Amino acid sequence: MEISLSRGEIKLLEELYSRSGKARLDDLKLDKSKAAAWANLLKDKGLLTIREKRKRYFTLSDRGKKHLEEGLPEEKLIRLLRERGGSASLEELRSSLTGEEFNVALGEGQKKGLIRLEKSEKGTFALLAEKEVPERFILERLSSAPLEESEVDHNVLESLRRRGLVEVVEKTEVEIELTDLGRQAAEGKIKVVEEVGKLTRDLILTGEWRKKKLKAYDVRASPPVTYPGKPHPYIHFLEEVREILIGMGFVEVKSPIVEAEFWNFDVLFQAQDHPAREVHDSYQVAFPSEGADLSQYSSLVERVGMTHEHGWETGSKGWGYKWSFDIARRLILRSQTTAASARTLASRLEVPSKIFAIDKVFRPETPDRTHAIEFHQCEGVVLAEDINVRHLMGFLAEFAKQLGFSEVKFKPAYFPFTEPSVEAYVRHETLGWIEIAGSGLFRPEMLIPMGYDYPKVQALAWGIGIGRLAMIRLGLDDIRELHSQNLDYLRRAKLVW
Amino acid sequence: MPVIRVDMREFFRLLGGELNEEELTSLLEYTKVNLEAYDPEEGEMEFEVTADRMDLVAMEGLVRLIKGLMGRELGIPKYPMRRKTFQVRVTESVRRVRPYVVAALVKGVDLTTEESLISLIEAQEKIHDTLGRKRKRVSIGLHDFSKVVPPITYDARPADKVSFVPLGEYAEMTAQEVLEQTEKGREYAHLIENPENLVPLILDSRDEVLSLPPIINSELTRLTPGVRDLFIDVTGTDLRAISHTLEIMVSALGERGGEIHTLEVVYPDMTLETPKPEPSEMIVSEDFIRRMVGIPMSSEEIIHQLRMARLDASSDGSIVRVMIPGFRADFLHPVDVAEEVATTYGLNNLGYELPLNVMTVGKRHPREKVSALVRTLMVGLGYQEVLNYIMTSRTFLFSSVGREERPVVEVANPVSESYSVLRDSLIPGLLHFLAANTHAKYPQKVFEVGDVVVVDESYETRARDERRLAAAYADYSVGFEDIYSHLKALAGNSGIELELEPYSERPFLQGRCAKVVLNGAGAGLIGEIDPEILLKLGITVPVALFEIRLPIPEK
Repeated sequence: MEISLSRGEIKLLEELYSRSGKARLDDLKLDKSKAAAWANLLKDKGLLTIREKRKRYFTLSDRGKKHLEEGLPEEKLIRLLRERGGSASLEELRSSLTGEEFNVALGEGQKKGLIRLEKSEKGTFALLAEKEVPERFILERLSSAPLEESEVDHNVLESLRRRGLVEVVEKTEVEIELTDLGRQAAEGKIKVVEEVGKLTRDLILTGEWRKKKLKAYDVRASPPVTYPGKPHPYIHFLEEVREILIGMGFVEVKSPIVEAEFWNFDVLFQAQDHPAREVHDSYQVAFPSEGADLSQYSSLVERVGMTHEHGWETGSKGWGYKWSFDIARRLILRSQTTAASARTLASRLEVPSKIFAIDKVFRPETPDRTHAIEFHQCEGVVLAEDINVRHLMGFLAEFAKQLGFSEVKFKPAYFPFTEPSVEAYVRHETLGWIEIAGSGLFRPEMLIPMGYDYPKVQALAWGIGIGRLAMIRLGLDDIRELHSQNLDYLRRAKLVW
Repeated sequence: MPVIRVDMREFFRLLGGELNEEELTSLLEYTKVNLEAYDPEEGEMEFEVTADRMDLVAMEGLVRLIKGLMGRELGIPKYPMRRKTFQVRVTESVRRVRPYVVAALVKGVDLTTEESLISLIEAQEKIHDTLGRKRKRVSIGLHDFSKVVPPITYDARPADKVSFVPLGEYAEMTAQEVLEQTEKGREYAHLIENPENLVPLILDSRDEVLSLPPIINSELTRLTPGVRDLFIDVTGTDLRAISHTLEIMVSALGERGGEIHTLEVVYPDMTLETPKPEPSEMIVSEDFIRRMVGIPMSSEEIIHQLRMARLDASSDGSIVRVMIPGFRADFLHPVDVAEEVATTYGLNNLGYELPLNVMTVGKRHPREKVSALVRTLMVGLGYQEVLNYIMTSRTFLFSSVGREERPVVEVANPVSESYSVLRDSLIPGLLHFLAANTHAKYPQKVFEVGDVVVVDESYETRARDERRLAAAYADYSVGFEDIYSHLKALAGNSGIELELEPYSERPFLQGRCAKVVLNGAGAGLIGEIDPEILLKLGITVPVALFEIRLPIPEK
């Protein structure tokens, strides 16, 4: 037979054996925190038994410590009387002691027979009767070590406790004792092999590891916590969306955050008095105060203006108002990623082309659980010949499928720059039908001024409030958490792919 | 999008039958209308309608559409009509104050219940708020015609020279008093401000004031349940919008059995007949419709779908003539006709497919390519990515983190001061992030890859986006060397040449700050943050930090 023990366990075993096989754990000359763990391991191996006893101990209270130094009130009283030759009037004593001390001293002094009170015509006098004060002895013993209840005179202890000079402490005392097996191991009758925890370079190089036993770990025990370097969970999700769209053949495009109203609205055939262009729906830029420089797009600008006014050559009636170039060049913060699509389409893309944008847009909302001042939109456009509303829904269904939604349905909708316009809904297992995208075929009033051969060439487009989908995926119910300022949350947050 | 509340009993009475929630919802799948609430206990429903279909803000318009979808009534509704019953004269002076008016008379309307009157007034208010741009562009006056003696005059007069009893008041007031003392007066007086202090007025032949648009009607013509004949005026700044509004109101009353009388509105320079006696016409190629809808459809099917949408249509086999009633203002182009066909046919009945002719090669934007690369390296260096807002405040960007003020993009209409400018650096966001997390375990290593906006008058929109990376390292003991080693690892592993030049800028400590030069060009800053700033932010450990502009290759 052979037993594997760690170095610490061996140390404890030897120490215990040297103390005739039985001892209190606290008395062993070992690291106390580790000794308990070693003892438990030895117990599990049947080498020792552990008995736990709850015991009441007494220690000095703060007041007790003070009185030990300064003397108990009754001791002070005796000292005073001695200095005054054995007697003093109560008035004298009262002036030499604090009010509380005076009362205690007088009470205790009489009770213990240390003093005697005598009344005379001149008043009441205290007379000295020499006797020991039993409390001092106990207080002094307590100052070096706590005492067990059984070690002290019960009455004195009770009096000390009542006077608040001692405190009761409950302590669990652990007593360990070698079993027969333990004794045999300690005496070398059973072979003990030293077991090693961490495998070190030293052990490997010296070959020591061959002689020692590598301890089997409790693999179910928790390891220390590690915080890895990690992508933001929301950005990680946006990367997934990006990957899906690239996989479907879409090219990513960008547009500036500070944008001309022309690209955000006019070129999309949104009339200049459209409510979305009012102050409560888009951010106007106060600085820089100069409007955008649209000179490089002047012929497009002119065609767009005419289209708004009377339809130009688009076959549309137009909006029938006086279009203003000064409004078109006003600066705003991009309020829809369609601005990126518009800029890209205006550069006369090859047909077919597919483009997408994932970027932030800005709206003057009051922030709450469901509204944010800035949020991400994901926009996709397919420009091709002979495509129609069925293909639009085909792309939406495929995109939804890639995002993990197999059931999809569609509903007519209204957006200023698409016709027909379609809202896409997907079925979520717990939330039911949720709207995920607004979409449609870009209007001729948008595509024809850009130079596309409408209706042969069509552009189908969709926009997704991708933040809302991310919230569902990440299990968030407050949109502000997408920009969480809580490091603990980010450290714990799972990356969902 | 406007949300309208309707009385259930009144709605189903007009429709001529009840629908349960499911039936109603599935019918609305063929419209842009959403059912927001169906509450039999309260006897109420709520619908959300879209901005292009203001004819549906009137309950009667919604009922008209649903009748079409159910096949109960098809095509343009035929309301009885008489023409040019009397004149509305428009004076020269009023055109300077509120330039346009249109009007109609509707007789024999079924408005016997309180609910029917309420629904009419709700529609009026919804139009004021949306199409009417809070009464500026459009405002509607509804009058009990039995109190009116035509013809009518639309005139402007000095506010202190005209008096009447405004709706809801008991005594006569001058127009001046109406503007200054009544609730509606104070709310809307600014819409008709003019240097001559004129007010626009609808007056009858006795010179009685019927209304002071867009503010208030006269008590004289107040509507009460049981009213049969209504005079309607619509005034405003946009003739198209007020004409459309009149058509919506008149057709709603037509659904209630009214006989519509057109009126002659005589301007100094033109005469209009309102509402329009005839629908307008749009010519659309059938092939165009089929091209948009994506399925083969016969002429008959196309015509039937359009009639379900309450339009009239006829076809010669290749061209459809579509007749569009005046209450529809959403037909600018033949594509709008194609949409009606797709909608009433049902998007979910069309089926869907992926097109085969759109082979293209997908590609990430260069800015995102570089961002993904540095993100990978920063994560490898043990940094947690964070995401901060681009919109913020001047205080957040500058004084709170000890940076020197510089020009940043500023919005004119912030909702709050906290979101009023665009960030020009990622550093303040990271420092505030650390400040918000002083309780969390150190070391804290965080980074952000994101856009900042730099004012640049030479750029076409006067401000450029810059994609930047910033990283902060906070620990009980951390310094320049630690963050520099990470920057060097980042540059080295992404093939960027890195040099540092001594530099001094707040909030970095002097002597422990450097300018970062990437591929020979200044691209950012690195250093230890001044403890004075850290303490101000409540951070009690040292912080080393860098921010760089990412070198983005041309496409």
